[in-house]
Amino acid sequence: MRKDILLILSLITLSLAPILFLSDSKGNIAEITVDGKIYKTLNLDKNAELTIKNEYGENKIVVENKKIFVETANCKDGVCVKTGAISKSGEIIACLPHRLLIEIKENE
Amino acid sequence: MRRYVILSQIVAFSLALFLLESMIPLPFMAPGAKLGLSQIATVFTLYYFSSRDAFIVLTARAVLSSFFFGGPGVFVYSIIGGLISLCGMIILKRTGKFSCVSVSATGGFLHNLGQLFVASIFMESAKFFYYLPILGVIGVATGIVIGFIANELLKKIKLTKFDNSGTPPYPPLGGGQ
Repeated sequence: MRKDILLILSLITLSLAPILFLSDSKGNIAEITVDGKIYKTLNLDKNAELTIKNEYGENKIVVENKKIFVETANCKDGVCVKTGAISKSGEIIACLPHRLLIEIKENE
Repeated sequence: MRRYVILSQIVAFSLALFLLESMIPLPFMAPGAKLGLSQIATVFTLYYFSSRDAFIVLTARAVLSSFFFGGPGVFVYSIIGGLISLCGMIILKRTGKFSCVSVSATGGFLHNLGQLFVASIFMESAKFFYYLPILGVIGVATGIVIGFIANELLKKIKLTKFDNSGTPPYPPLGGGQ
């Protein structure tokens, strides 16, 4: 019983470890990658709308109030839309079926 | 021969749980977060039968669920997460130091960790580990629940001990055969 509790606690500690590496600062750049290559970099200070259409599918990306989110997508699971708006450095939105990744970065 | 009849019943049970889970609306917590109810069958088989049989049940369930409800993309995530999880559970079970519940908790954790690895490789970005805190904890929590359920099943169905050599005296499952 004691060993079980120790095991479960160490699993939770291991899970939480990446928090140490996260910065809490706001990012102001969103890097959009498709297929592992940078597709476009958007400035979060400017409101914008962008539709990415390729052989995998379609995602409509919106920048509003210094946040970025996927408004609509024609993928099966809709995970990217459900993820909601992101704005902090290091946060990501992923659409695995469309091989799309949006990542917040800080402008150096 | 009877071994495979019972194992295929367990696979069917696992698929039913998989389908049942997809019909339960759950609040969106993190990408890929699931209850993993179908793992009840894997954990049960691991303890009731053997590592090899658990491997058969897991693989069959992953192939069939991707065939019916997912697709080739879903299959890769499902099978790799499942195999990493099962390998970890087999190793922990072999040590004989942990209960079914904490072994299953490790399985849940490793399942989600494995899927993050697959996502990182596919999408060529290590950024996915951003989701490890939430997915790892969800994996542990669902693993504990699955472990408890499997444990209860084991208590209820443990009529005769499975003997891996020769013809095992299987308990009647469900009856009517």
